[in-house]
Amino acid sequence: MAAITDLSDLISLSSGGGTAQPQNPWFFKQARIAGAAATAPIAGRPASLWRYDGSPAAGAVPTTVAACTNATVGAIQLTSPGGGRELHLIQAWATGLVGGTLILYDRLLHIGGLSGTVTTAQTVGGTLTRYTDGVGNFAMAEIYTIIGTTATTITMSYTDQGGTSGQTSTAVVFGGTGFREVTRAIYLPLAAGDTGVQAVASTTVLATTGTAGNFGITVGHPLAYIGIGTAGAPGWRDFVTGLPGIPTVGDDACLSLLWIPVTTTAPEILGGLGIVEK
Amino acid sequence: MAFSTLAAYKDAIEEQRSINISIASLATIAGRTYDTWTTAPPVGTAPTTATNPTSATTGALAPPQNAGTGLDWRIVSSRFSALSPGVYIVCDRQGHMGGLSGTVTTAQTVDVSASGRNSTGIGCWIALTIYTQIGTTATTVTASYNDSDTVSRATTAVVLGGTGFREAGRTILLPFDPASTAGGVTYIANATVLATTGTAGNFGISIIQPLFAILVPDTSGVASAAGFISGCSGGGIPKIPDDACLFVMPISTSTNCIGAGALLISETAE
Repeated sequence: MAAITDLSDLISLSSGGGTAQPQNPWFFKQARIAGAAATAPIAGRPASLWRYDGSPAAGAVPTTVAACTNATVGAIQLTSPGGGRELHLIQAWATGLVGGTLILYDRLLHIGGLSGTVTTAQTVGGTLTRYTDGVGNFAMAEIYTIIGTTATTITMSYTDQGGTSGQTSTAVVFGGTGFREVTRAIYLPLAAGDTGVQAVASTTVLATTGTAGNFGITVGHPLAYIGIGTAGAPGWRDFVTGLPGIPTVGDDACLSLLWIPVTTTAPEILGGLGIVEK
Repeated sequence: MAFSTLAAYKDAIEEQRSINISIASLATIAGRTYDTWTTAPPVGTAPTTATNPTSATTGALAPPQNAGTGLDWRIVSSRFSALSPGVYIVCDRQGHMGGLSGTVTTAQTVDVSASGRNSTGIGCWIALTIYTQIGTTATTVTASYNDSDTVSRATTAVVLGGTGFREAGRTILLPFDPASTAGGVTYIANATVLATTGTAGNFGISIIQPLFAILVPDTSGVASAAGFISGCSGGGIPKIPDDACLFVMPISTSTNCIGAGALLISETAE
């Protein structure tokens, strides 16, 4: 592992002067899932683009818990670093059919097949392989098949960044309009004082939503927030000149996208990343 | 191989050459992708049979000369002013063909291969370009292709035909097969339109590789000075492959895409 020393070093790495070539993966997402029109998102509320068709291809609905990697279908194409080197994110940009905020994150772990009608604890489990200290990691409930119309709440039992297990997240609304639709991503707020997630043991739906549907729990680590003002407008993060500096991308990261829309139109997104290895 | 230092980068920029870009006028839909191949100057012709265009193909944006022996061109910066903000993506047109119909509902042969410039197909996309307007009836289209592992795959269906998906110049990116663990595309065998759009028109399928994005955030006439250090760009400091057939895929914020500028390129050792 070595830090990027200065601008000369960064220019050299970005123009092919490093041990490994720079990576500039591009991505696009059509507003479709499995060849059919995607469900309209809710303005101002996060939606997952994991299942959206495009390049990379759509990710599958997870079943059993799994740690995601760059080999998981749905991940933005990325070659793992070699020789003890690290990947560094230096650019992230995108545009789209509608305005909103695109969130680039490393999808660390996911599970699907959970039910909107089961009111006992549903097991999550699994083990993180990146950002294992949990600091900065988030957890969200991700809806793969629509759940019920009855609004209730959801919590999770998790291990925080300090290794304390049995922490309970603050209850948030689950089910009902705006909290049940396919692709909806519902962040699970951490308990007071916590700053991350090392593991999620289980999740509990307080009362039935009325329809089982299919939802899952995803643990991720945010890397970049890209604002897109309006249709066709560019949004970008330049980590060369902008704060907070140059984020490290985990080895074999499963780079994925979340979307917070300003409208209810399902997004079409096109963008790219700049990544160097040192 | 690289600009080894900031000083070397600055020296190279001082010796830069330019590739002029002009988009005379292109009717667009905000936020959607277009292909300037037959409209920008230089104006290319709609392809017929499958070919692998090069920098010598009419329509290509080409460096003023070939890179010297042992040297590569790299895009170090750009200047671009547009009627409206948007994103202007410089792509290498690896292979293309045309003459497909919006009314034929059986598989239509494409037979386009990635060029020798990127035979692995990694980083390449499948683009459907409409050369002559097709019909008003919205349907879907898919393509059969080989991924970068040369395994036969099928794209998922996307809309073709109807407003926003029929106009000349519109390019529609086809999503990769979720069964494929490899990104990219090395070969496109055929394309199938699910139901007639009502008008044959003329569309084609291309393999394209995006290289560099010029981000234009400002309003009419304010030039974007994009570059690795100054921002407003995407794609790093990319190498222009020898013989690359460069063209611009714009995404505008308005219904009339007009712009002019230049890619600034410098030579560096391979």
